[in-house]
Amino acid sequence: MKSLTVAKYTFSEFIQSKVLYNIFFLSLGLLVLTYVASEFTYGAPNKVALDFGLGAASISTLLISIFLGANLIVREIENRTLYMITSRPITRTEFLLGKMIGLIGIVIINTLILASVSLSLYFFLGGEWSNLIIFSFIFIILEAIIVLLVVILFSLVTNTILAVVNTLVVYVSSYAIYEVGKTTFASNNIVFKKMIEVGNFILPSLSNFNIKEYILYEKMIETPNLLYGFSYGVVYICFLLFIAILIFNKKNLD
Amino acid sequence: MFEVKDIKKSYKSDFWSKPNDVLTGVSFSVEEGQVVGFLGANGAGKTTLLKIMMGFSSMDSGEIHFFDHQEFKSVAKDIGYLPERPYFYPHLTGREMVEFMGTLCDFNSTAINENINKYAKRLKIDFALDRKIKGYSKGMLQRLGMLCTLIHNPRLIILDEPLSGLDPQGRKDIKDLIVELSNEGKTIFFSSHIVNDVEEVCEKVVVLDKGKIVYKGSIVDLINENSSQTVVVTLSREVLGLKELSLSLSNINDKPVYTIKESDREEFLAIALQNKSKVLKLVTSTPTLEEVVYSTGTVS
Repeated sequence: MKSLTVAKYTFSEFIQSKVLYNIFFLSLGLLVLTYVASEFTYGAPNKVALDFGLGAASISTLLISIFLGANLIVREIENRTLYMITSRPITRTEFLLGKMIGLIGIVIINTLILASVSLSLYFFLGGEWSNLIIFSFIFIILEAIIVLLVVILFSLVTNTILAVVNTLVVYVSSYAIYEVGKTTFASNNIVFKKMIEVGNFILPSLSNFNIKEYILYEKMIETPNLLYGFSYGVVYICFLLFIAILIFNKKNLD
Repeated sequence: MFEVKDIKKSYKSDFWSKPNDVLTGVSFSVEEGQVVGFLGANGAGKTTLLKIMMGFSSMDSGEIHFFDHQEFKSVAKDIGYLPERPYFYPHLTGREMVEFMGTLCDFNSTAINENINKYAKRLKIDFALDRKIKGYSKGMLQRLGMLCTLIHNPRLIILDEPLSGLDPQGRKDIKDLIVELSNEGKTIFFSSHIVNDVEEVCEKVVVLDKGKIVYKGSIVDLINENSSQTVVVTLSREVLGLKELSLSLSNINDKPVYTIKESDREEFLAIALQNKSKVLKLVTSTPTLEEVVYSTGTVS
């Protein structure tokens, strides 16, 4: 319950800090860009709308998670707001969960707004409904939560700038490992194959959440695969959360 | 009310460096209903000890008990803590912040509003409660911090430099409030490096110097134990032999002003009167706590 109180005021603080203005301008940009791009597209302007929408939602949630997440706890320590809060009857775990839930709320609002804009355009331009569309937005949120937890973890053991840089490295490496793993060279070279397996084990496999091409090219994706992606996301989030709580509970808040 | 037992804390500036002792076996206790000042120069270790007490920072060894041997978290509802130079979420209003703090202590909105009405006007922050905190001055932040500290009616109030950033009127308001809270029976532990502030509101004092407790007890006893009273005598003219008896001699408006020990007063006056010098002024001087604590270096 205490976490929800912290979440409520964290969410309120972010909302009032005008972060949603950025989402509004992004939505407007998305509308204009989609219109311009669809003018140059023959045959499938609705897919352009969806492609741009998924891309904008993915990038903006990623940026929100990284840049707001890097400061989420550190700023509390630096500004000593955390001292006022954690000197009340609330555990550090409840506080950390509350802060995260508040920011995840912003991520979800951001995704919902951009999804509504892009889907409105998609259907307006003659697009057809697919269940994968819902999954793609859920996966964007799951990916953003994982990135958020990674950046919080780094921010707890390093500083804000290093946390941002390290998280970007993790993000890019995760996708790079997936792409490299698909090459013939990698699959034929035993050492390289092992390295990719280790990389996949250590880093989050964010490619599990990228189902954009399945929607755009109307490829089939089995339900178990979707459920695997979803379960992987939930388990990975729990794992990162466990480590973040462990570190935060032991951290000296000097 | 609370007891701090043999707290030790050291910091390393980097992995290879030698640990630097910040607190070396700090022990003291504060009884219910007392207003106790926690004095020490900047860097003496006051804030470090308060952070350890609140569970923000770990200690190397020692014990801290609140209300009959309990841990801080189990009694946090009864403790109000104001950190040094408090800062809040800039985009929330003052009222939202106070409600947030009250809700965390399981207070409902009626109880929170009651306490806002009780203290906001008293702290002269009522007019700004519906403004966003980013527009608050330093003094207003301090007043809001005090309101947040008191919103859940704590039995024990721990204040870290509560008067910093306040103008003279603000300092007076907070000091008066501390006295009022003490009269209501609340226990107050008040850290400051400004001795006069502590002397004005506290009956007892704990003095920390370079991580060590150098005095704990009543302020009056501290002054009596560590000072010898002096007498300042202004005569109509200088008299031979009196200079040797005095601690210092100065001239004000062409009249000699002698500072002598209280014990030498009778002999000094007898010599002065024998030599037909009139006593124009005689003042017994009692040192302030500040003079005792800082003018003499450290308290013995």
